[in-house]
Amino acid sequence: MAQRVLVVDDEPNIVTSLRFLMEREGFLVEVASTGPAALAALEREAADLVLLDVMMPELDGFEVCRQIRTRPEWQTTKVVMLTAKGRDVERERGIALGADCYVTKPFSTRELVERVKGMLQTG
Amino acid sequence: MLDAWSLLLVSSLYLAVLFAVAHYGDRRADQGRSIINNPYIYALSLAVYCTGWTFYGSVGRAAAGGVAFLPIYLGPTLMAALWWFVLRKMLRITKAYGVTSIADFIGARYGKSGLLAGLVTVIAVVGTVPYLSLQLKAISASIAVILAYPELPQPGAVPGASFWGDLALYVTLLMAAFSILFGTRHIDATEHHQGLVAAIAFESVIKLVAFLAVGLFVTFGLYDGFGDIFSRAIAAGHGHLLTFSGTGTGYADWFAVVFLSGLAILFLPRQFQVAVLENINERHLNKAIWLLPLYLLLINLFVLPVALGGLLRFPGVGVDADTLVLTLPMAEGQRALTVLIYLGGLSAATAMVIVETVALSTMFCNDLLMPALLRVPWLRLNERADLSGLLLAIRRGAILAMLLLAYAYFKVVGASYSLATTGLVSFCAAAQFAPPILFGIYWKGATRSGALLGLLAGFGIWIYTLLLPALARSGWLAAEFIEAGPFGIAFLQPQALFGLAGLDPITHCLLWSMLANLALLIGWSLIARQSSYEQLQASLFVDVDRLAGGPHLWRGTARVADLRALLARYIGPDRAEQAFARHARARGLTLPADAEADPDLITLAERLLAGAIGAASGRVMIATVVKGASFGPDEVMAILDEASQRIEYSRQLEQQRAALEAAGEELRRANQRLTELDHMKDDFLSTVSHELRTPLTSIRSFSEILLDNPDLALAERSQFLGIVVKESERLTRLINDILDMSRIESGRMEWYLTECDPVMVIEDALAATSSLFHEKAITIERHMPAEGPTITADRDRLMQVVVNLLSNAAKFVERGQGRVRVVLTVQPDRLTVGVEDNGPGIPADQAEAVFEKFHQVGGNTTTKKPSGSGLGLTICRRIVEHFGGRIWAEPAAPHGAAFRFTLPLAATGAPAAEPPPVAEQPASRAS
Amino acid sequence: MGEQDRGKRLIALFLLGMALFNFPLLVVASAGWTVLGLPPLILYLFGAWLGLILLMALIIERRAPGPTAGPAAASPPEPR
Repeated sequence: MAQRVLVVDDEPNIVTSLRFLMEREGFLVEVASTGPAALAALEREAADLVLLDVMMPELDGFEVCRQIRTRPEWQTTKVVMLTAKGRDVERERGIALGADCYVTKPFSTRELVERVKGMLQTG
Repeated sequence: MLDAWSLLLVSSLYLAVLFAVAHYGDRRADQGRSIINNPYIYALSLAVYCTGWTFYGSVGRAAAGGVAFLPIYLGPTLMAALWWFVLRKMLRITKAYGVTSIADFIGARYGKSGLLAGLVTVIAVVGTVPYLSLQLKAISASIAVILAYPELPQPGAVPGASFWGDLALYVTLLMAAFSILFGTRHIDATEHHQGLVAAIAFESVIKLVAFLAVGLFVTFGLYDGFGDIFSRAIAAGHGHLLTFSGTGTGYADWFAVVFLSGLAILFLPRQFQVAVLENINERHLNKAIWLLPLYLLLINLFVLPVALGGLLRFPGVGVDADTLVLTLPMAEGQRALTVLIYLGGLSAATAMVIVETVALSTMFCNDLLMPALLRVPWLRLNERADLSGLLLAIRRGAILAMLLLAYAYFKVVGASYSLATTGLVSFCAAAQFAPPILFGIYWKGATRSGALLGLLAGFGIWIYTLLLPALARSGWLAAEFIEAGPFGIAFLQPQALFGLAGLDPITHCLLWSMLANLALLIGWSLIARQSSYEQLQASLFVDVDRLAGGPHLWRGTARVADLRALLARYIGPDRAEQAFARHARARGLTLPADAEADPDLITLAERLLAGAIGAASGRVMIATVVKGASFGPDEVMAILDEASQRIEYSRQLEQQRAALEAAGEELRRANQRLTELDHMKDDFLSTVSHELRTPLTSIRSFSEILLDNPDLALAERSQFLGIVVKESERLTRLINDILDMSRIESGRMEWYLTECDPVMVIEDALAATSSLFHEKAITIERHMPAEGPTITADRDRLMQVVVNLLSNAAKFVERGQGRVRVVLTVQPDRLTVGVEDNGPGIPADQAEAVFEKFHQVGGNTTTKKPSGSGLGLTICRRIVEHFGGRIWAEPAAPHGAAFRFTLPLAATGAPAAEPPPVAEQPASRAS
Repeated sequence: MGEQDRGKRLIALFLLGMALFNFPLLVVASAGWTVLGLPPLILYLFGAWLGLILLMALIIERRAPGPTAGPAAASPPEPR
């Protein structure tokens, strides 16, 4: 059974590219453009991995990540944070909140795909 | 007229009243409601200057020498003017350092010298004895005269001499008892004798009233006023008494007495006692400066009339002129007046005797006997448990001894000088204290050895030129001693020393003694070196205002119990306990017995002890219980210097502190601003980084996707390529905006100013953005004149502003229903451009924030994020402000946002083109 | 009048007194005539003496001009 990936970003073009990359690898892709929408999508059906943008209005990526980690049923869900702010503080903050991986924009598509695949295999 | 018993009764009643006054004064003082705490009592107490000598002797002197009695009162009048400085300073010193007598004052000034204080005491005692005897003589004589009535006293041969010799002894003993009762209630000499002062003031009133009474009686009772007396006196051949030559004194003698009495009013031991030691408020001094001279004037007003009246009343008979005050009313049978006069004379004499003996006994005990006794090891005084009784006994004994000495002098030497002259002899002795005190409080350089030598020389000359001749006159020395000089050496004749003949003996003594005293004090001080302890005391005295209450001289430690025990031995356990309790209360301390005494307490103990046994002894005693040394004088000098420097610089420091504080505040603000700027820069860079990376992410992703997937469908391929192109454009815009922003902010923006028509600029901007409007089917409305006023601006930048506002508006309106209005209005001094849309509008609290960098509005509520750089409005604002205009956002009617900006029109040349009426455009430009 | 000024004036008064009660004014005052039976020397000595005392009182008792001056200079109380 295909694994589910949730793509969360407020930039439609980036969502488009991520959906394309994930679908090409055979994952089932769900998208959301805001934090609440992402949580609602997870509520509907849990995902195996979330590609999560940090800089979003209303509810930013860190907060979404924190809420995911408070739910026991979502403990196995992998979280990959994507950010355009490459500072170390933010990376550490993300990891501390329970993100499994932290990727700086712009990223190499190949590397991102490899990482996602690796995480979903070991998990 | 009055028998002995009546006289005794009157005297006893009067003394009882006096004692009641004193007792009342003391009780009020104990209750803390002092009755002497006013300048009038202080001034009246100073009138202790007027003794029995004034009361009886002035008339005697006037009868012989006319106005010759006056300089004794003119001197104090002149000196009073200088009290403003001199006495004030002495008061401050005395209060600051707990001085107990004039001997203590001089001793303390010269390094707390016990030797000097002792010498001063000796001079004071020896110099005062003739003066005391004078009072005894005055009282005894007045009693004898009254008892001898109706016989009148003949000059030189006082009636009933054999009888009233014993009378004088009774008077002496009575005076002694009275002084002891008054003056030795407390052992602490620094405490004020308030009852004593009250009694003295009371006596001053009595003697003034009595003298004015006799004066009025003689002038207006016996005669017909001043003019009558003087005319008759001149007619009777006494006219010479009313001219200067009639005084029988030269100008030098006159001036000498003015000078001498000016010194006496401050430096006689009793004057020092009332003026300095008994003063309880420095401000009382001010009134006393003119009240005392006024008192002196009043009490002397009738001296000449009484003297002349006496001379007229007893022509040729020859009555002892010193008793005229009494004999005149007696001869007229005025019984009541006689009693009043007698009481006045008694007042004058007792006041002097009491104050003088109290002052001298304190000095004798504190500065002469106790220091000596404490040095005698076999007395073991140090080990006695309570010495306060001994101290009181010593003082009481001293009073008695002194009065007996005066009695002896009266019996032995008494008749050698007249009343007035005997007084001046004492003045001369007291005048010796003037140089060491006056130089001591104004010149730090005056040394102990100089003062000692000066005093010794002055006192020696006084003995040689005044005391020994007095003894010679009374037959105790060979008369040739005066006539021919010792061993016949004319050069050393005591009253024509070194051949200086022709002067009054008083003037002669004053001249030589002052010369020697001053010469040695000044000369020796210039040669000799001061010990550092002397230097310290000199500084404390001369700079009293600056240094009093400054550093503590004790740094060692002492147990409270030891100090208390030491103090109890000298001033009694009760008073020691009281003093400690007061100290503890004032500082809010408890003083457990085994606690260490603070420096304040040690200093207090030293002062109390100094009050009981003198400054020098007090210091020695304290040193026995204070473990660890006191500060050495050098160290204290250093502390004093430091303290004075501190005071001097404190004002500057205060200014510097204020300046520093201001600078600190500024620094703090600057730092805060810098920190804010730093954060802002950080945030700015972080935001810029984010804004740049976002389009870059899309471009890179799709480029890689296109590269890795050559088999993509054509539609997908062109969609992805389209995204790459769009995002590249976005990136370019962003970079341009950032560059513009940084140019504007750093002031490196290049402005190309041309004359342009705003209407044309707006049209061009509309043309540049037409595709945006077209794409979303937005309606454009123009409300502009056909041709606007010409303005001078950078056309491209202006267009950039309008384009920005237009594309913002296009971004926020709904596809298909959008409507954007462009409005241009022209006022005389400015034009206003508005771009209004019917989009969601801007919340009121965001109206200003939209102009901040990277502020995003409106995208929050929709999934669609506006694609601006976040810098556009910021750049617009900078451009508009560069041209002197304003830009703001406001709600548009009926809904939506309106952005408006103004541009000023040049004052000249701006055509007053009226804008066409725009019906649907409200003129409101509220911001 | 400040404390220093008072002090200076009192010193001046002291010097004035020294001159008044001295040669040669005393000689001048020792004339033979009288005024209302009063000899000039007596008038002069007591007059000068009283004058000095009054001047001292004036110098010391006169309040400094200013807001603390006597009632004459005080402004009427402000209505409350």
